[in-house]
Amino acid sequence: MKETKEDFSFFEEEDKGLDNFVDKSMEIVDRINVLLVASELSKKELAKKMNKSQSEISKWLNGVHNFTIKTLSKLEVALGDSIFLPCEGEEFLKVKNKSLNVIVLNNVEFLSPISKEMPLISQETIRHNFVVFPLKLEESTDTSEGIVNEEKALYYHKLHKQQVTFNNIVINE
Amino acid sequence: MEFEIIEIPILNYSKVKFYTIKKEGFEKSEFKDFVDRMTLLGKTDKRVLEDLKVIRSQIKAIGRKFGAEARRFKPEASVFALATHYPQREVNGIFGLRVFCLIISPQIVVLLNGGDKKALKAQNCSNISMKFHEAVYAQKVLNDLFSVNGSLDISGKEIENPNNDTLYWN
Repeated sequence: MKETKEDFSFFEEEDKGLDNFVDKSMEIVDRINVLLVASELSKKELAKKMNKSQSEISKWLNGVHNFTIKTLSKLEVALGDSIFLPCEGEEFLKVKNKSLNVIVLNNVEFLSPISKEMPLISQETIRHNFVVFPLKLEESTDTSEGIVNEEKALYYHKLHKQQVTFNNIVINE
Repeated sequence: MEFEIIEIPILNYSKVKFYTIKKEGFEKSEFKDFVDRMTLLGKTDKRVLEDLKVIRSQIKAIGRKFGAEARRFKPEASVFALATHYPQREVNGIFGLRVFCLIISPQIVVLLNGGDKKALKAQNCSNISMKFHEAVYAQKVLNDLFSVNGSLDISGKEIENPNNDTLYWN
């Protein structure tokens, strides 16, 4: 396609504070979406718990929203988990039936090829009993996923008692 | 009326490439028109300029980090928009800037036009209702062009017109 010659230099300007606000807002929306799926609450049920309309809840789950701390605190109580991620955007969620562990990823580039075509976190993904790791392998099977670094590889191996490969090398204790 | 889909080089990011539309006989592309009008309005209304900067940050965040998933945008009836959302302003009839978008894929977004929304529903706002209806129409036009027998294909972040077909708005 042809490139425009119009002046869009406005987009070269930086406002790091605002950029950070938008980044954080989007991460929070992601996190709320994930917790909503993990809690197995519908939007309607969440709205009832929060004493809000369903349309208000829908607004929170899309775009950029300037949440107050009060709203986030109430959401955490309603969703039953912390909205703020511990570190590096990865965490195990224990869903209600306790039989599934799900790792939340912020970076979709790290999705396993098997789940690449699937939504990152969705009810369907969770019901497939899928553990989604950050992955840098070329190919993967159902029982073998790659890890971003070796330390995490060992941790996940211990946790899941499954074979874990990192950069095509099988991790053993 | 013919139209073109044009790339915006400065808005070509690692995850998403942003395009806009330029219609035959119009001096500016749709998105350029939106940016220029809001920049001008922002000279006398700081809130509008601030909103425009938030939209700028959203475009960067989507382009660089998050990709063009639907939840990054605000649904407005049958189309999507980049928007600012400050509920505490809505009581004064200020709903913030809206720029309507077409999400072609998680890697391709077409930025259209918009304005300063002053009513709850886009179609009821005199500032943006026309732009809203044009966005709905644009979605239909592009859906046809990207259909199996249409003129356009996508490949990664690229919109392709393999046969160099002329694109018609109506």
